[in-house]
Amino acid sequence: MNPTEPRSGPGALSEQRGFVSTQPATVSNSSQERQQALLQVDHLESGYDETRVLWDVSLEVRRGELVALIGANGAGKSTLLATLSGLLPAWTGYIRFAGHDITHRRAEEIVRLGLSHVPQGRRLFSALTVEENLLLGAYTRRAGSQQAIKQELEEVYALLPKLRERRRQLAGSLSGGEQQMCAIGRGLMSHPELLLIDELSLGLAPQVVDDLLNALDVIHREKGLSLLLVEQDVQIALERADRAYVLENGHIVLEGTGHELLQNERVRTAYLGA
Amino acid sequence: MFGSWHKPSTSSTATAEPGAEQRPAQPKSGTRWPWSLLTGLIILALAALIPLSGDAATLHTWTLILMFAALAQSWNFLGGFTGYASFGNVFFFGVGAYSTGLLILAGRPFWLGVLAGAVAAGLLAFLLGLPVLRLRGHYFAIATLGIAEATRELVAIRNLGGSGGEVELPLPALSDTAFYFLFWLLALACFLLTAYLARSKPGYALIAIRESEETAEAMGIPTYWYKIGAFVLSAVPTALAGGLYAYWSTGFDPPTVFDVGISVEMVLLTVLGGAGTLLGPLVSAILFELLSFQFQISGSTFHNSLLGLTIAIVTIFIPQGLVGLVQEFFRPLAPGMSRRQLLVEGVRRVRRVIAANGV
Repeated sequence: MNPTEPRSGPGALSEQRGFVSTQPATVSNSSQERQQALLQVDHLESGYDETRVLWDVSLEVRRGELVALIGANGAGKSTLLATLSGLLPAWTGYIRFAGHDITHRRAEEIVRLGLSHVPQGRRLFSALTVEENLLLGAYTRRAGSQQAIKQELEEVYALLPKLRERRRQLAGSLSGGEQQMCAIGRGLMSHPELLLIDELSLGLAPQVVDDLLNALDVIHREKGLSLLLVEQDVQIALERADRAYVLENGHIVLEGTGHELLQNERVRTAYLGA
Repeated sequence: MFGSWHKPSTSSTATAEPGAEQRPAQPKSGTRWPWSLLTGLIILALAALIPLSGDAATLHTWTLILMFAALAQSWNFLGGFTGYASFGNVFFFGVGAYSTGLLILAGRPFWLGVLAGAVAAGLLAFLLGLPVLRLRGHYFAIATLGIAEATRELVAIRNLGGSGGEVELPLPALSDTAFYFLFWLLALACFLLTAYLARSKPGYALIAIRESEETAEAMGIPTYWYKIGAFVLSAVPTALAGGLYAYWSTGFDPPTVFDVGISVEMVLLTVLGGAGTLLGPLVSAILFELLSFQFQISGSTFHNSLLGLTIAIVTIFIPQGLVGLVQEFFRPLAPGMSRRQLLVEGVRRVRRVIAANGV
């Protein structure tokens, strides 16, 4: 559970090294942008048809941060992610990502800019193989970048070795944990700067969740990938997060560092049952 | 009847959980494409030998079989790959037939008519697709059905260009064998296009739409434009077939080339063979059309009932289509199985085919 614990996955260290050495520097102009927000959401409102779900939501994710978004069922977490990735139109407000205004951009352009969304419930293309799923994650990469895609695939396999074993298997035949791995791997294939993960641990065994979180730790800390994690297991989320937001009924009601929120009375009674 | 194929494998997604290590032999894919391609090419090569028989009736039957093979395969581009079941594809067949008929009556060469029909159908598919492909699932099916039915009513009333209700064309300058090979080429072209789609980035994008449209969108796939592209792709060969049919049969009664039965036949053949598969539509067009002609010859009054019964049985017991059944049996076995395990696995596969429908 603790991020400083050694990784429990098989061959963790060698995989980590392999992953890092092949990785081009992603945080190129980090000196000037490090403290700048990678994703900035201002007064966002959004919803479905007539139903407003998000009310005046403002948050930000800085480069290299792991930000957790917690909240009860129906608070609007998934709606927020869908709006950020362009699947739902924003009603009012402003979304800025990596220096671009993406408030009204199409999903395709947003993926190209480096924002990748791992949807809730895995949503794999179940009649396709694991490798085909991963390659579809690289859909927006240019046709000429076969080599880069192949390298990305190798990195994903190095990070999540189970996927290499299963690569010719139909995604629908995987276990729940393997499906989540595949969904995350697919999200990484577009070479994102920010990965949105919707409900990482839902319905998974604790050991599987641990393995997944450790893998995410590797890419987060060593590759500099920023993460926005929606998580119903509040304990796990707050222990790992640099910062966190609490969403209730479509409003951001609390924000702070992960440890601050872990100590917070309101969070403890509402979400941790303490 | 169509409920079972629309999203063939979503059920398997929901059931997985940790500790599922003793799952049955892992289904694999990726190795079967070359075999399907080869099988299809052999079937088409054999079909090219039919004119050698010299029998006019056989040639006639097989001309229609190849036409339906082309129709079912082009329906598959949208219906099979993306899961958007159009019940109005006969509209494009009618557009092809009509354009060809009218241009021939205007004294133009027939190939110009066929090409004009194809272009018109492509354009219409694009324009109709813009609103209609914003609809999902059953709404799309109903909208396409509506378009085709409305057009049928319209031509039944107006009889554009026809004399006494029928569009009557002069005897074609082409021999029956020449027609046969034109339909053969069309079926081959559709087959090769399917083979390309089954292995290319655009094809995978279409399959991704079928498997989970919203996720496909999240991956950055412009799903809307892909669907429209597939609709156009499916309209053009259908119109070509319609144009050839009109000239081959020296005319037509306008409402019949817009008959919803032809749409249903495209859907049925594809679904029975295996929607979204390479071989499915081709194989089932041959099998079921042959069967249909046999029933027609032998049991005159009952042939439609017998055919319907056969289709019902196939749909109940093989919801994933003929190709799915064959793949289930030829799936690679785990290495080092004993004879006893092989027997058990065989029995399990038969049971799984039956259980797939919850029997």
